[in-house]
Amino acid sequence: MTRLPDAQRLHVGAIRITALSDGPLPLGLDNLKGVDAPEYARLLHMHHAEPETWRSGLNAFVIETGDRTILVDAGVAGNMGEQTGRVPANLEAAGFSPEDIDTVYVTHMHADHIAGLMTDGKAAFPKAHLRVHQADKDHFAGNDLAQSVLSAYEHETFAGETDIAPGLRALPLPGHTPGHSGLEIMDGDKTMLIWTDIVHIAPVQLANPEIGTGFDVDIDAARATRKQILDRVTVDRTPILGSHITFPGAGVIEAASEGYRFVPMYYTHDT
Amino acid sequence: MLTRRQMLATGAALPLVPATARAASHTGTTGTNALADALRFPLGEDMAVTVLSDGALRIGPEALQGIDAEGYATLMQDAYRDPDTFRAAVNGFLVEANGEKMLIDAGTGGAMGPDLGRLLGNLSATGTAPEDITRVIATHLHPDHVGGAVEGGEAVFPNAELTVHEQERAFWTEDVNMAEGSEQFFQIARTVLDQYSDRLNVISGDEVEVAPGLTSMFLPGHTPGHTGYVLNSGDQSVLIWADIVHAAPVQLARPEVTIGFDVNPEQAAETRAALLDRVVADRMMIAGSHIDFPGMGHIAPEGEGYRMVNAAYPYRA
Repeated sequence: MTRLPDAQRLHVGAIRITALSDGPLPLGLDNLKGVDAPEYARLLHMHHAEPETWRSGLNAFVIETGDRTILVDAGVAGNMGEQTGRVPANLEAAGFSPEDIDTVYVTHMHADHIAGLMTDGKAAFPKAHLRVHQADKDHFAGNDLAQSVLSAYEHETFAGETDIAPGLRALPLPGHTPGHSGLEIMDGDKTMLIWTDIVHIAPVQLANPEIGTGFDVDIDAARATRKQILDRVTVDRTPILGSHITFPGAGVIEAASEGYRFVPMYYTHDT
Repeated sequence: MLTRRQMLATGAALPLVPATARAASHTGTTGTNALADALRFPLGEDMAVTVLSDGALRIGPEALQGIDAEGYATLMQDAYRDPDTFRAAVNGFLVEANGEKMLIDAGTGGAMGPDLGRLLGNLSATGTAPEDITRVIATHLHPDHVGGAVEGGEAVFPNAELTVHEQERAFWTEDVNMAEGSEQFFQIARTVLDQYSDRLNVISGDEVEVAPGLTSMFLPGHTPGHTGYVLNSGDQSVLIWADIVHAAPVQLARPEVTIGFDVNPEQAAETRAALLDRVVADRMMIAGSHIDFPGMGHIAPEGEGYRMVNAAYPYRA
């Protein structure tokens, strides 16, 4: 069988989004704080998932707005298992070359979001201007990968809600990292929010938003941000895109008998 | 209540294209950067089912019985769908098992307009040619399920045996039924039966193993011989339930709602109610011909009805 690409198109008004999978991510109970094995299994089972087979996702997104082409994160470059590192192939299958990307929007400077920005020690997207929150630039000052990315790309930091491109606005969501930032996508009355790493193990953390992860730089701030944004998107019925929600990670959050649940967005049939 | 004749006549509102005028709408995806609408789910140790989209079909409130436009709009909005633009998926299923490539339903071909007819292009994207298909298994003989089995009046799958339930063949063959139904539906069904007449596998009864690990499940009502298929490998299984629902956001929430395409709506509703109860009790994975692509997942109780819980994305090895 020919390998099929893991890439799907979505729209927010006239803005086209292409979701790209970097592959499944081997996360699980060991990465969570505040839940034991029986409860973890119970919450997954409630969502028709099994602890033995459940895998997280790792998604990146290309956004075409006006004459701009923005890449949101770039995957882990194969550093989290042999099934990861698929963004480049899926980007190509979706019709993009690395030179097409004019802007790289970094949601935060964890390796699973930025390792794919480098190829052989150089910028993988040679024409891209990089945007990242100042607080993450500061926090990752001693991190080799973060420093190599910042050296390889002409970059500009932001702090606070900031316009990135027509219809795109950075939305700081601090806690997971100090500069962890989502991206609001808006065209007319249509909106969508890339909420990035609000959840890592979606069925469990949506059912119980108190549960944090070992990756959270400030687990209490991350929890407060998660609860605040869950309340907001549920009330507003704002569709979200998650970096770690099963591909393509697009859907709506609704209140459930326990906490919240993810309702996948309908398939667009746009090839 | 509509009469049975009126319900059958609803089919006439479809944008059916005469067989002679079928253009090359089989091209499937368009453009050089087109992505395939095909998703492969491994099953157990040695099977896989690849959902192949044929496109999507508008099903508005006027096509349904037992709900008004307002109720339809409310249920669509509850499911985050736009009632004015809702389209139901049309899915076919490529099954790989025992070295065979089998196709459960073949999409519309050119029979139902240019928004559909993508299945063959999506099949091609998987690296599968029509010649590779050993069996075409028809859940029933409606044009959105078997229109793609013929092209220009001839068989598209030259090496495939066609499996169909005896009661399905009988219904579409009887002239008395055609007199009160959509003539074009009958013509397509009969063309398919004719073109595969020398390699028909007609099954009967409730349960027949058509191939190892692939067993029929008789689900009559939507059509007299409407049949689902259970795929089994190792400890995994999936039921391809075909047309148990057409407008899923409405009919999962309100299983008593029927559609004008149902030959026997009362029986279709009974079959739907019984099967929904069973798949929930057994936590059985299902795949639907008209559930939003890829249409694979579990059914969970929700209020007085049900909801779909989509399967996780099938990341390839």
